[in-house]
Amino acid sequence: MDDQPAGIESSSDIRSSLIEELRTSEDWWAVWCGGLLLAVSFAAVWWSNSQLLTELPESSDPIELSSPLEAWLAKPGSWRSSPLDAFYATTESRTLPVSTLPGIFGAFAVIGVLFATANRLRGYSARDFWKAFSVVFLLATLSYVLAGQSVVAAYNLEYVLWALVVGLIISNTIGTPSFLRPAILTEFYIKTGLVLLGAEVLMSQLLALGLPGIFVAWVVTPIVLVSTYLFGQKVLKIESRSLNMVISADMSVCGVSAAIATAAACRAKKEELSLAIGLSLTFTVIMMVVMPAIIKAVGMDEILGGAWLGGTIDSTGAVAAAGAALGARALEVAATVKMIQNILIGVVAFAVAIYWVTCVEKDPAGHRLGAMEIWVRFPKFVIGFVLASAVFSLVYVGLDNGPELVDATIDGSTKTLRGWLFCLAFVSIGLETNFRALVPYLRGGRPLVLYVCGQTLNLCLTLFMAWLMFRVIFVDRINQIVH
Amino acid sequence: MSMQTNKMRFLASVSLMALGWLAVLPRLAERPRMKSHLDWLQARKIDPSAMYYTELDVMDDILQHQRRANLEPTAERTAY
Repeated sequence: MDDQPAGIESSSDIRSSLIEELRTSEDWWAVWCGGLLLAVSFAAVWWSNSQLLTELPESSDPIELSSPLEAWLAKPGSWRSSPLDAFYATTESRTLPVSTLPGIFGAFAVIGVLFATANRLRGYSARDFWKAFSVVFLLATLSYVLAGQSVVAAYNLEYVLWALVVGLIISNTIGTPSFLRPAILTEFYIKTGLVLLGAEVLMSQLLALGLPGIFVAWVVTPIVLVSTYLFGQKVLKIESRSLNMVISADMSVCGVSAAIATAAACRAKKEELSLAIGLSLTFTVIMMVVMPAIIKAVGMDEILGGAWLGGTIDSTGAVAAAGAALGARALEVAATVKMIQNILIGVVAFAVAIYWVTCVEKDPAGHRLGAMEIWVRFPKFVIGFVLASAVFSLVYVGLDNGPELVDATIDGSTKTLRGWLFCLAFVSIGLETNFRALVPYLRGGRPLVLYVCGQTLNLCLTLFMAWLMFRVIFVDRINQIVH
Repeated sequence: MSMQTNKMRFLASVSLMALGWLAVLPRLAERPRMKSHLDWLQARKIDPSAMYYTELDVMDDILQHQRRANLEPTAERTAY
């Protein structure tokens, strides 16, 4: 216990505790690791394409840039009849399939070296980490292979679900071996993955459909999020505020990715994140099949149907599949509305983090927290997440060929690494979770009622706003953009 | 619970998953209706399990199309 009362710490104490935090805290290490990966990935694209960029004539024609790291970073792909096909990929430039094994090994080496070094510098054993990481990475690879089966993928059963299942099977049968513990770094993987995801949150994409897209995705969504959260607290009296928030966010924003970001921002328990994702994936499967059928049955306009799907179905891939079932115009509107909603993740994570440290995590006496205390409690990885989004958004609009540079950085390396980090995180959650720990959250079915009520509000409000924006106020502008 | 029972549960779970992924799902993927649905998704570059818009290949085409649509009025003005 400190002898000195809180609030009168000397400036040198504060400075030394900040330096100590920067050196040891998992949040800051996530920012360093994520930042390093983003910087190296962008520099690789920049240097390898610099000659091409200087020789280009000034033209608005799109050019295609590539990342030299692309061949060295991969994940298992999709397959239909043999799981071995997951380790071969066909590209547009080559006719014969290329093995993804060097890329998978590359991802293993990059993440392994980075996290072993971080562990060593934080005072843990790098050797123990490597021994455990090899096995955890193998389990993540298996999860990707399970998720890559095309029937499984067609029903939006994402890799995070299979990563969770693989971990759960081990922990709830033979038990998680203790030698795996040094590589079960759930929060570290998630936070680093979220910093990488920040680079994909490009604010300029907000304007893809103009005002109608913003109204459907950025006005309705926050209203539904806040209403669902308040409904859970005031009416359903859900005990865990973080569970309430994660379900509200994944249902109203964009499913799994929003659940991961919000759970990290409000420090939700891993069981709460698992439950929210389970609910979201279950309802996504139902909605991606039922909603296009309803839209067709009532003869709803294709563009209105697309906007409704994009604003309501949780998962991005499921939105595209459901939109395509209605037609090309519905696919375009649905996928774009969902993309605009995807970008909301950054704002939601930041707002939830602020709300949590200022309003939820009060001190034991219920006093308002001072600025210093808020800073101490604030999840610092959110700074990395928001900063990555801001920097890459500026590069996207500010540099000549910014879109091509950013796309090549994301497609060529950071997206793959982010996927691996989330997959490793969910294997880790599974390895740490006992089925019994999930039971208390299911009692009374309140999370299910919360999801159903929130989604009903979402369906009604989104339909109204989509009709107003896409078919009444901005009908000409939308018809001009969407052909 | 004994170690033996735990091992049996583990083996049962693994066998069930192996049966599902090595026998049931590949057969399901080859059924004409499912096969045509999977081919349809592949032709449209849609991965229904995509978590974020950057994981959707079809998004590149959509964004490029929208950039062109947004540039069209400007191009017309320049031409005049």
